[in-house]
Amino acid sequence: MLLRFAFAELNLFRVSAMVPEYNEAALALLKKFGFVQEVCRRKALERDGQRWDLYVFGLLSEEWQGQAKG
Amino acid sequence: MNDLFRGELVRFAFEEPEARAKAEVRWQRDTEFIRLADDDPSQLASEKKIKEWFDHQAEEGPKSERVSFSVRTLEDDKYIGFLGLWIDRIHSEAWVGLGIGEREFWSKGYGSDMMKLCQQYVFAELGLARLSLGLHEYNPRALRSYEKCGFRLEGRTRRDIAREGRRYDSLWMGILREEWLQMQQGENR
Repeated sequence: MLLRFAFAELNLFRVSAMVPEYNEAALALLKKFGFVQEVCRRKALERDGQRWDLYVFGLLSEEWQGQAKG
Repeated sequence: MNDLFRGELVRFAFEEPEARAKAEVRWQRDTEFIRLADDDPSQLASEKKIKEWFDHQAEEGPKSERVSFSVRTLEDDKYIGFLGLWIDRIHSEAWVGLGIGEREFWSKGYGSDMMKLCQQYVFAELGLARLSLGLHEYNPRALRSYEKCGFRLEGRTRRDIAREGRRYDSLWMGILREEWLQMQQGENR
């Protein structure tokens, strides 16, 4: 729904998302929707006295179009 | 102890708004420079307007989340560029952006020397855990220089820069304090 709005209504070229490595639910959701993990910002977050990676994901309009058809 | 503001080729300096505006009004006309330095659209502003921005910055004075330096050569004391840091103390990270507006100082090691000073400032003075930067894929000169300074390429966001009727990737790089410390030990041996 949100992706349809982004790609079909706003005509965006790409949608990006940033997720910390400990958020497994968000990681699973992004992968389910075809987002590609593009960047791993190593040890970029400090939480609970520990350092965590921060991932950047991207989904391109053409990738989304391909999914919608397939 | 090392001099924090003095490298082998350059030193960090503070320029008054007049001098910064005088240089900036020339540098902004070099669209290749602007396009390498940033993804904002190139624009032209008057020297007066630019000076007002710098006046505003100077009035605000030093801030803990934003540090900026002007850069001068040691040899001729020529004002050639700038380096800025955006600091996130919560996550102990800084982002760096730098530029050399005077083209005759490109590809001669000045940028690397600026970056070495910057790393020393971030890790040895501010005590942060991580230093990050971003660049465009069409800037291979910068990529080589940053790799030489110990940054690792951490990924690329695909085709997020639109220019010249096509799309380019953005590259993301980072260096951790441990990696920097290890490099320092290697150099002192």
